[in-house]
Amino acid sequence: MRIESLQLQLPLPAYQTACDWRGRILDHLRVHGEPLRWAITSVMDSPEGGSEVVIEAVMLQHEG
Amino acid sequence: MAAVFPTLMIVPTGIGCEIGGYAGDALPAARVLAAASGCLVTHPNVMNGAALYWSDERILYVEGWGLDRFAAGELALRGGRRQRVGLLLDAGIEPSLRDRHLQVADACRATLGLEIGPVVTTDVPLEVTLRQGESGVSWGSLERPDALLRAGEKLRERGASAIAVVARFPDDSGSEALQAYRHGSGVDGLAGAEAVISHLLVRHLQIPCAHAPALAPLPLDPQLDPRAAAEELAHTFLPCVLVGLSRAPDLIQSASAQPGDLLASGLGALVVPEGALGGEAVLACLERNVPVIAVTNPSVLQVSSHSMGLEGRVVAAATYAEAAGLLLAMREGVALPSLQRPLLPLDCFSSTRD
Repeated sequence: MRIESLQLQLPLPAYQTACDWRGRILDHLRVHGEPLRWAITSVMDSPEGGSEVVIEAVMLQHEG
Repeated sequence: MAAVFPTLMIVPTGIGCEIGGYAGDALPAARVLAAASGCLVTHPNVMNGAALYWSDERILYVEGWGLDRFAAGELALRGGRRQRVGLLLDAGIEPSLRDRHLQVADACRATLGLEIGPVVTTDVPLEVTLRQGESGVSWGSLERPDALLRAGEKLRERGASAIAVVARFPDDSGSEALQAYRHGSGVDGLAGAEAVISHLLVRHLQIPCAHAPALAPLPLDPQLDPRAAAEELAHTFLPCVLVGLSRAPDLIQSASAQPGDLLASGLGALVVPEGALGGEAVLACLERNVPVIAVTNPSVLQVSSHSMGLEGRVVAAATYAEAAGLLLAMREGVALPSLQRPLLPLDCFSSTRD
């Protein structure tokens, strides 16, 4: 097992509220490994509508 | 007084909160929230003041990984048991510092009556590293997570029902970041790596765990901020961890929960800093429509109710004292708008056919 840090910028559509964000964020994080610890560290309005969030995460990489 | 009103209090670790960003300095706020709610779930960053601690039967001490899983509805909390706290020591701790930690464990047995043991030392040094994210949040890692988990498994096999882990952290006696922290204006640079260590253990073993860093003592600083002072009273940061874990609730799979266990569905409210609404537990509570009280408590983050489009969804509190008053009102069934002026007019509609 290895531990890696990850920063991810993610657009979130306007039709979703923050109450719906967790599952969507986890789906994106899991592409990069197993999320151990993560948080949104910044939120901006997206030019296309909705929001753009920055996530900082600690990820586990399982080998073998 | 009405029945207890289980409340989750979060002050995220390593983001430099003015209240709770230092050495257990959110503990007075936690005590007030526990009194108002009758049952407060919170995490070691709130409760740990190195050599200082406070034991309150209304407070459930739950490490951050378990807290996130609890908020997401995956784990339940079962209180009421005295834990047998195993001590996991990093092989990278030098002999004299190791002896200091063993003496703390002995002191807690002799003076506080805690059940502690066995002690297991990792087979290789854990090699903790510290870093900061672009946001300014403290993060960190360790090179040998495998050694940490092996030692944790051995402790559980030998009867520990909770684990206090002590890892050797890199010494820092002169950096600007450390000086800022000691003077009350910086982020706790150790906190992120501490969270990674305890998250790893709880995820792997599903028992209560918490971390204390092993560090060489710092030179005396007459300008030390009171909020950082608790960390400079003794040779170790371990006493608060042993006390907290000794009464920590068991972590139970929600599907196996029994009457009396606390589930996320039983939460009455969440209390969290206004600028730190982007953590997993907060988002999980929003999913579940748990009322959120956002307290003014500045940090390096500005993930606020405004930036997240949550203005109508969270209740603002200027202080933790105000948050306690709000919790008391909720617990007693007093509608919060009744406490404010002006009192908005009733919504009135006519019943018409579509």
